[in-house]
Amino acid sequence: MSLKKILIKIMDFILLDCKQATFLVTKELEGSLTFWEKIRLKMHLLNCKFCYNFNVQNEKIDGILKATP
Amino acid sequence: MQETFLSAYKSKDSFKGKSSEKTWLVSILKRRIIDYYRKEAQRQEQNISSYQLPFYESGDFVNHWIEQRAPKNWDTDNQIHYDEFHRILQYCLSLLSPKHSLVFIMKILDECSSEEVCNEVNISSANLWTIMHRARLQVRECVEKKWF
Repeated sequence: MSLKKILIKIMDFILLDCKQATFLVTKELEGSLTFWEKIRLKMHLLNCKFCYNFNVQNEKIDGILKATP
Repeated sequence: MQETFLSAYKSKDSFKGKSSEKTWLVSILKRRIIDYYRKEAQRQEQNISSYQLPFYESGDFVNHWIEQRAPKNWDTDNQIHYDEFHRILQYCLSLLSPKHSLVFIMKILDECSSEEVCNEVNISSANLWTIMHRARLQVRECVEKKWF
């Protein structure tokens, strides 16, 4: 196992993998995360451009849907 | 048509001769047609809900984004694009399975509480989050594909 793979495993354990992270983004948009979930998600979003984009895009989608008369 | 004669031949012993051969064959044919459309409907339902999540299912990068399908940077600040974006969004929502789109719209547009949605669609709250998660992944990917 290369160093990179080991690092990914450790990061996943501490900071969630992308599937978990996007799941928590979904839950957060509906407004119900525990304290630790919030911390772990924030840390993940700082490290992962894709999940960060996912968060921004879904906020945008919600905004546009809600703005519809 | 051929199948009608085939199944008629197979079950020829059960034909009691109460009705004419023609009526008998037509009734078998009718049933065949109904079966066909029922199967077709089931197949389509499966197709709709067979959206593959954009994450690796195994390997070193399990549950990480598949790069080609990962969220890119959107530039939607431009006000001119608003109508177009909205039209695409509506189209993408229509691609969700009926259940998923109902949950999605109730939750976001009607701002229903989780309990209300769960009661309406008859699902558990864990199931609600899974559906919302899938729906958001699917809608986002569809919008990106159509728009950018």
